[in-house]
Amino acid sequence: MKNEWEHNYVKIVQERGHEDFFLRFSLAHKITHLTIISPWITTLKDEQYTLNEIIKKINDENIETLVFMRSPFKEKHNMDSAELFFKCPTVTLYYNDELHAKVYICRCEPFGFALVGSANLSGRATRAHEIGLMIDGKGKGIDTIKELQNLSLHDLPNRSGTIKVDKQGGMKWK
Amino acid sequence: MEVKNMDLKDYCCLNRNRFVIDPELDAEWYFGNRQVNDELLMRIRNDFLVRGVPKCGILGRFGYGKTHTLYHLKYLFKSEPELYPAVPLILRIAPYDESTPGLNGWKYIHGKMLDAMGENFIREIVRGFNSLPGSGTGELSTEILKKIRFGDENLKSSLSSLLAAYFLRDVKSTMSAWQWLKGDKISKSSELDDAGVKKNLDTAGDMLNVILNLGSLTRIVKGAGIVFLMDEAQSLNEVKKRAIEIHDAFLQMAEPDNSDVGFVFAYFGTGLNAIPKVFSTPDDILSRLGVTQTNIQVAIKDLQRLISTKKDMREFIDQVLSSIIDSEKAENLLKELSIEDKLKPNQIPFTEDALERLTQVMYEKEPNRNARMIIQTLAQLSAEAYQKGKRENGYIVADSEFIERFVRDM
Repeated sequence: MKNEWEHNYVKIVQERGHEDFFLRFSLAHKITHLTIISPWITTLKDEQYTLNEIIKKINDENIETLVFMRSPFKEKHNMDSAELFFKCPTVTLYYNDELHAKVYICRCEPFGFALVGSANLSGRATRAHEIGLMIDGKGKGIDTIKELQNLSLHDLPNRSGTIKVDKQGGMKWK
Repeated sequence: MEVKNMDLKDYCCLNRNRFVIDPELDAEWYFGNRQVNDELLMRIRNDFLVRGVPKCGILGRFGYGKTHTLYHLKYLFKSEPELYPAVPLILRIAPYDESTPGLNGWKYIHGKMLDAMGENFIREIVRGFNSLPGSGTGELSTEILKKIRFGDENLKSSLSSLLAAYFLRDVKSTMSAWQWLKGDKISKSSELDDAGVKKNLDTAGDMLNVILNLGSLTRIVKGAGIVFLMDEAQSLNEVKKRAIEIHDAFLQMAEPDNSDVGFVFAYFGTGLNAIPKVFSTPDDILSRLGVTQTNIQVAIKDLQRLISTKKDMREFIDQVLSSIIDSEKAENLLKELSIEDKLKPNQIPFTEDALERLTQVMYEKEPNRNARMIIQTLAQLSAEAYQKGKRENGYIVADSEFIERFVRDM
């Protein structure tokens, strides 16, 4: 019985795709880091949390953010979102055209949370049949979130095919 | 007293029958981070100086305390009129629905505003006006007409005549007067004709002018304006076809020449995009509140910050418990049961470690960081301890071990 709460650090998310993650993100306090890994990212127009709102919070709270997505020059659906991320000073943007993982990590008080699953950061994902695991920053979830964050900080940027977008150079067609 | 014979009120030494905080009855209290409350009150006090009446809003998700905040404002306006010189009137905008007759357009909102005022209030204003020094010399309707300024001449004259005819003396039914005030289409009424009413309220502008004129009279009689505290204003997200008239009516209320009728909206939502488009776009209303889309938080305060840190949450829990526990009664009960070493009177039936654990658990998940969730969890745990105590006929202390079973899925 003792510490059962800590043991329940993973929950299955079967509905609304990434919406629960971004609800928590919108309410989270003292966010130090956000990672978005999604091959396809749209502006989430008409969704409960639009990309503009997410980016506003990133800007307002100066949140260090890593975004991994497929290049908008290959995937036209990504163009508008890439432009929005590109303009955001605290976002480091990476393209990788082999990317297929969908992982969202938020580090905040008291520790943070992460979503790993099938949902792209798109409007369709909130209505399609997606499954994910929401990991809370408690018990063993703390280590899991740390490992996921390490993947985004050290592994993914150094994978073959990953290109860090040069913000000084502007968005250019390749 | 044996535990099996206690009710929950005795078991938890509550100063009420149930473990509940009522927005209206408990309006005097305001829990959570003081800074949010201070910022809201500062905005309201500044609005009194700059705009004559408050013109601002609050927003937050379900359970963040929007309704309680409005009732708290009402309490403050009534208890400290020198600081907050306005008559507070609460109304609920929901349910706005354009597919249901009678639940849409400005007329619907206007009706809610008039209902919030009520007959007694309008009578009080009319009779107060009639009793003012100097106003007894002429016809009341003529005197009112001299003092009101919103709307065309026919509207002002009709309103003055109607107020004088129906609300000064208690001699006839005000049904027709209310129908006219609410903007109902009255084809021919000898009663209203006799009273000197010349026109119907044809447009949203006419209806709003009636409200603004009543605000002016309130200022004259009471030396204070009117503030509509509008709950569930996210309902305005449903405004589609009637957007132009509703936007324009709010714009008129926001105009600087209206310094007698104010508003504090409460919207559901997170982030400032939650503000209904009919209010925020175009941004001419916002600009009259002294803000733009980029600094809208100056006029619309986000209640999310009421409980944003772990310290806020623990303080909130302590404030709730100490407000609803009768500590003298609790001290006596602890002595009677000889458990003074286990519980503090202002935390009964929770131990300190249980409250710490509860704070930790609830703080971990952001959607739990709100007033309603915290109060409901405290109430649920108190009831569980009480039920177990009654079954075992012994006082069950809600310690960390006891609450663990209930918090495991939170």
